[in-house]
Amino acid sequence: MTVNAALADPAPTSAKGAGIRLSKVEQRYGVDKGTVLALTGVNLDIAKGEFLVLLGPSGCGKTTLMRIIAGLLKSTEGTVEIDGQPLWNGNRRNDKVMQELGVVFQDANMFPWMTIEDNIALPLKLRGVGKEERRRRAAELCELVGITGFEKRWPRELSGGMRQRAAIARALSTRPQILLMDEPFGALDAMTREQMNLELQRIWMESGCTVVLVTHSIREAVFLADRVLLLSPRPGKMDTIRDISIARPRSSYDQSTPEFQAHELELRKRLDSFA
Amino acid sequence: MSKNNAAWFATPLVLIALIAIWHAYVTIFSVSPFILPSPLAVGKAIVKLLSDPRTWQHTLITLYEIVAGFIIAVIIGIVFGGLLGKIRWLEQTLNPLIVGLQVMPKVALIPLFIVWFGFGVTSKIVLAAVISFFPIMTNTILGIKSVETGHRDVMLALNASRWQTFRDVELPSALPFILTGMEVGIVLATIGAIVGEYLGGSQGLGYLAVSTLNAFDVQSMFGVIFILTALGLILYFLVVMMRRYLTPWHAAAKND
Repeated sequence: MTVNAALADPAPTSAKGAGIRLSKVEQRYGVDKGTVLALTGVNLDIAKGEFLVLLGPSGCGKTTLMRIIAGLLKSTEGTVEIDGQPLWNGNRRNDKVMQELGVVFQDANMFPWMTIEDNIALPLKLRGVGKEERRRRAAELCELVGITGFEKRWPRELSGGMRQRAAIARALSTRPQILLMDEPFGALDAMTREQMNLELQRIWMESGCTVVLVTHSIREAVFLADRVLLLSPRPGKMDTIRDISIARPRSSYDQSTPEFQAHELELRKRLDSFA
Repeated sequence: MSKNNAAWFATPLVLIALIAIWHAYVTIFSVSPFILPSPLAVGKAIVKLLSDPRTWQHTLITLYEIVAGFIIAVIIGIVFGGLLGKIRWLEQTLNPLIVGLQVMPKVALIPLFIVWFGFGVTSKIVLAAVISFFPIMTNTILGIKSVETGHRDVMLALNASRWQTFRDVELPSALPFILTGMEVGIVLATIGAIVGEYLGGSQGLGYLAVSTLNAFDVQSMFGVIFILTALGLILYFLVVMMRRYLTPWHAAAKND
């Protein structure tokens, strides 16, 4: 499948999340001794409510691309639009668009001086939501991500997997239309990871938001994605877009089906061809 | 627990051993009491000092100088440290000046402080503040600069304002560092107040130490030094204990 064919026909969905449009996005790093091209020629439409996975080897710019979509980095060229609104106005980030985004990083990045509850409700505090309402919402989110009972604990008292659940809860606290996840389960053990994938699928189906997830696990990509965007390295470029139309909700057993394994094999072959 | 046991049993034993050696040395070599009085004589002098209300007045004055100077140092240290830690060009501009001031022996300024602020408590408070301000400021700068990149990313992704980032992330991140600066600072403030009293004025424990020595009452001078040590220790442990209440989340707070 070629890039252009896929672009002409973005996955049709009708959920509430916002769409993302990337046009001619390019990122260069460094000022001295010339620049390094990290990412180039990214033209991509992500549909509302879609689950898009960015997959690729290290150095393919997938994290860079995620940071650009998250507004953490202003791309040196090209534009990012969320629901038709530009993410950047000159050098200023568009506050209204930023409000629609929730970001989860590879590390949970819990603030150790706040209880789990305060960590989860921090985005609400920053928006001036009152204490009672924050507590109520935190309890609701703890239930959604399965850490009820740990509201008053310090982050250091939780396991890595639970901290990452809390990080997802924090990102969801403001009911964002778009959830951006940069290798969110990369630091977890294989069993926890598989369980988190199932939970994430459930959370995504319940919230109906658009998800962009970065991973270097082919299995995780195929399991979670509506579409997998494979990036090739040096410089980072869009290589292949692959539709994964396995029925939802997917279970762990689906990973043993011929259809699943065919997707996995195709992506692996393509990945191996970069080396 | 085993570490705590060591502190409760071994430390007093070492202390007793030291006093015994001191006593033996003074007795065996019949050292003149004007050079080194015996532990017993010093003990008696301490009892006599503690039963004299004037000693308590001097202690209160010294305590006031230390605490006032220290509080000023904490406030100015955190404000300046916060500003310098956040504003890069300001730190780069002022850094040579700060290093210069830090290296300068502040004690040498005492005569000047006495000219400016008189022989009373003010000059001592100023000295205590000036001398304890630097470790608090430099630790605040260090603390604010060592905020984790991941934590900064979270605040950036949440589109937090500079003030929100300072209040919710930079200040709490820096707090363990600030407390370390304060632990050094309280000791320096104590030294500053006492040295100030040594060199000018007519009140405080530092003055008392000098005047007892001038009266050849060497055991009382040792007694004053012990009272000063006790005062310094109490203040130091009060600051150390603040860590437990201010940073219960921090690993260092558990081990104290």
